[in-house]
Amino acid sequence: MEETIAAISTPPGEGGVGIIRLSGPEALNPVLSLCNNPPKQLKPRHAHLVELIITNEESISDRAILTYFPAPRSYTGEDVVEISCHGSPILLQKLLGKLLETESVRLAQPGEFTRRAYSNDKLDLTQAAAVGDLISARSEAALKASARQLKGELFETIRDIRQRTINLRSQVEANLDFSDEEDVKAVNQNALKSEIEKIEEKLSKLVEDGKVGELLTSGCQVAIVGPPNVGKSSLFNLLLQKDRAIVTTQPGTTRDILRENISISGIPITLHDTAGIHDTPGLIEAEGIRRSETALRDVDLAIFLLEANQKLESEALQVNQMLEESSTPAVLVLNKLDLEQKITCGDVEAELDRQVDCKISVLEHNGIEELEDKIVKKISGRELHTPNPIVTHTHQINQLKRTISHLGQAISNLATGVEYTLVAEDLRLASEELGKITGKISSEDILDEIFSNFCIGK
Amino acid sequence: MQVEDYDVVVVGGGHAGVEAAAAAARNGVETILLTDDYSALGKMSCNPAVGGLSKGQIVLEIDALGGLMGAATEKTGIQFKMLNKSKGAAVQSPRAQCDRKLYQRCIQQKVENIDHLSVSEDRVIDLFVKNDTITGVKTVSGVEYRADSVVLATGTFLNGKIFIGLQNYPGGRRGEPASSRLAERLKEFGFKTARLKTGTPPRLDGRTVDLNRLREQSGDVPPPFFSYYRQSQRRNQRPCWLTETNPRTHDIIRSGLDRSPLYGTEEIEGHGVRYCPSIEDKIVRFPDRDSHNIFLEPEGLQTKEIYANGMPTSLPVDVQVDLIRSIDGLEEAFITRWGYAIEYDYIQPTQLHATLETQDIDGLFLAGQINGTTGYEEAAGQGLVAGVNAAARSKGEEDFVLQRTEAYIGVLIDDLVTKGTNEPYRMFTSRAEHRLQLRYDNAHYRLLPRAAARGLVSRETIKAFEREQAQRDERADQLDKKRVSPGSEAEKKLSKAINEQLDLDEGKALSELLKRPEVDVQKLQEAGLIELDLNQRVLEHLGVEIKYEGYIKRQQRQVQKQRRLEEKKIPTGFSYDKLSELSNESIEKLSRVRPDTVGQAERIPGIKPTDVQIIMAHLKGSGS
Repeated sequence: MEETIAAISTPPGEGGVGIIRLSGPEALNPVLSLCNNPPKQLKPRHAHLVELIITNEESISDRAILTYFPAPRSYTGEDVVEISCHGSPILLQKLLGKLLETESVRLAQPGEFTRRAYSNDKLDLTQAAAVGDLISARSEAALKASARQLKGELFETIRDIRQRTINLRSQVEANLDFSDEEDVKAVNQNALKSEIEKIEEKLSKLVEDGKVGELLTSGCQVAIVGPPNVGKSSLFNLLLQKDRAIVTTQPGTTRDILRENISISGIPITLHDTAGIHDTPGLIEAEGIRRSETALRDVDLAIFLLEANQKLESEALQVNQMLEESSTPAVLVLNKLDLEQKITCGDVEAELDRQVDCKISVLEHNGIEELEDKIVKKISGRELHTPNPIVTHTHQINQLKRTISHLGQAISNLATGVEYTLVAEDLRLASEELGKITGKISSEDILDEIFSNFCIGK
Repeated sequence: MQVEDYDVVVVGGGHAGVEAAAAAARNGVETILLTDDYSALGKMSCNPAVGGLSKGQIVLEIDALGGLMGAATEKTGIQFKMLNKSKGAAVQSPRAQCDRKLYQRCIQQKVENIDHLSVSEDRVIDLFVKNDTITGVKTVSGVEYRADSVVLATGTFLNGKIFIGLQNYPGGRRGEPASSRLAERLKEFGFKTARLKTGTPPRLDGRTVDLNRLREQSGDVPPPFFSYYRQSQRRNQRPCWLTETNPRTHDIIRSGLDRSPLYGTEEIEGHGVRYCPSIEDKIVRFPDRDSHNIFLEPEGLQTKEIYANGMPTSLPVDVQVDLIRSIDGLEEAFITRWGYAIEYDYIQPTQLHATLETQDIDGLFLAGQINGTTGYEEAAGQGLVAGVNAAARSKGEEDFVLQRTEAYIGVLIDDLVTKGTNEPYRMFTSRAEHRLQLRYDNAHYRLLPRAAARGLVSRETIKAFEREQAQRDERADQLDKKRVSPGSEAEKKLSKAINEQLDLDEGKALSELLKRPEVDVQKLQEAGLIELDLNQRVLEHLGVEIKYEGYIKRQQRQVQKQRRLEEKKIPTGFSYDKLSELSNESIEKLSRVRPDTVGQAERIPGIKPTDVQIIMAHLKGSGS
């Protein structure tokens, strides 16, 4: 028998409503014993207004909504009770503490509700994995991607692909197992090829979106680079929205690299502020510059910052060259729009052979949103509204890739005219890989499909 | 009571029973086969044909394991065909029409010539069980046969009930009584049983059929073989004929549905076969079709009777007459035997070990239709495995289990004991994930060494097999060594044979050239690059192995990975309820199937990889 577990299931911090959840055979009793006015009849899955005693000494109580989900029709598949009360952290902690005083209840480990839901077959693998992500989700967009997977949108998409694969294989297999049946017509090679390609395309799309998914969960590294005193640290601070870096007008102030985690359009980003690159640094600065160069090789994106109120100096060319050598993608930004303009976008482009992506004024907070847009587009390769479901797990992406590779083999085998059996084998291997994500595709699934579509049998 | 002592008793003389008895006796244990009808040994109760897609492979597996079916088909076949020729070696299967009477006589002769095997016409009505172990059987004549092992191969006889229209009566087969006492005893022992149904079509008097108007279908020349080392001189092959139903036939069938036990009266509770549906099933399930093929197959050389394959039916006799006579060529046809449906008990096969021994009564083995299968070949394959294991139990030898990787028979038994079945189970190549390895051309390479180790095949057969292996190795060596160089005469000839310019940029061995889709053994022979060999099948086998090489290697790697799980035995009586990490659903499934190995546990539908990890961990923890 499983133990009963309890935990606060709303995020830490002050909120309007806080939820405590209990799951297990003893979920209900400890809660009822805290009620001033226990409901005479608890209707499953209905909200009941109760008054909960929080502490005895001061006889503090709070009104709360209590919902009882008897097994197996609950999130975990066990008896579950959810208490919604006011979202003060202190209140929630006290209430939880009170519940944990009961001998049969212990604090849940992270993810334990989900593990139980999974082991009681309430979630499938993709859903369970998504819940895992949900718990550790670092940011808003990842949260959305996770939530979407949980709702089963990804599962639906993949199930569509799964069904297509079953249909496809049922036609191919019918031609092998029932070729002596009048009802089974030879498969049209072109139709077969185009259907395989369709499935391949859908899978490739998932893999492509999956890259964004990986980005959303693991985040990416962005460095601000440029000549000294163009406003790198000011931009850093602005993006951080707090004064972390020391800003002076003295060139070369930033000698070490500063890092902070921020979130732009939901993408978790580690932002690096780097030392300005120039020709004649002092010893300490030289070390700072060397570190900037190293950092450039390790980041996913650079914000290449220049100032519009100065002619281009050799430092700008030097930074440009570093970017080219490390082939780091970059957003080219002209700062100090608020001052007198000495160069145009055309000048910069002619000089650096690189397009100016946007013009900003850190001082006046001008153009910052446009800059953030450009950053997101450069990172994700597109607008990041993620209307499509996303596969976020690397191992799932790898399975998708292997599926695609077997489908590719099937297509090339079709083209060279090898034995039909081998094409069937490629498709079987593909569906085996796909099955690891979507749930197994068994020979029974294929046969069921054949029997429902063809009149088989003498 | 008269008491007789044997090592193995086999109950039933159908395809499962005779293979079981023959395999047990070949193992040198004293065996008796008990049958209701001595003269009906090896009777083909449905169509007079052996083999077919995937079933043909099973026949060759039986042959490699020293069974009777292949050799009997060789001797009594009257039309031979290789199916799926254009689809690739892995899915090619031979099929033969046999002379029904000759086949039966041939099996009887073979059985009569096996040492340690007796046959007695007697009806088993009870089992003796002591301490959950079988000790013998009791017959209606009052004889008690004592034995270490008993194989039940009772086919459709357990509580069999025959349906023709609104008429129904108990029967195990046409004209033979059902076994109801034995069926009830099995239930009393606690076996879970359910009902299945199957059907057979009417047979016709050939003199009343206008064959001249029908499409003739003849056999292949040369005919495919059904036995590796016991081949027979083929007699002249006989044709079959093709006709078809029409909209009028379908109207007649629809008008009779209210008197069909399947649709009108709901008297049949058993599940039918989706892949061998009755003609009324076809009309109801596929209403858009206005025609279905009917294959008219000769019953034998000495008879005019014709088997109307493609239309099993349990419709009333007047409807059978009308529908037959609505068909092209059959306007005057006289029905010699009515079509009928039969419903019978089967034992849910998840109650068996992979040896086909029951989990609850030691020494009791079940084989054939009693396990929910359909088809002569499926029955015979099970019979053979049950027979070897029954003998092994008596001799104290190891279990004989065929893996999914080595035989269709292994796939068949593993599916039955792991997944069970709710409809008559028939083999399909798509059930075998190792299909590329389970072929017609290599069943002897796969299984003959295993049969030899068990004494199932004769010394001469083993010698012949060893000679063939030596030939194969020599041939393989030649294919590796002989090369075609760019611009050579050989290249020109081969280009001509394949109708395509080769344009080699470097010398290539014949074995490399064979990897190309357009090159095969015949083309190499056409080009004169290898001589026409007396043992053509060795060359063709090598050609296939070369073509499939990459895929087979991949599969073998997977098999290697899987081996650890297949070899990990789960002790009998292992209690899953104690594994608290398992979900209730998994516990329920595992407790129902009681898998022999972790590998089998993993294949139970709904069992997750994490469940397998948990079981492994506990087996490790408990030191077993």
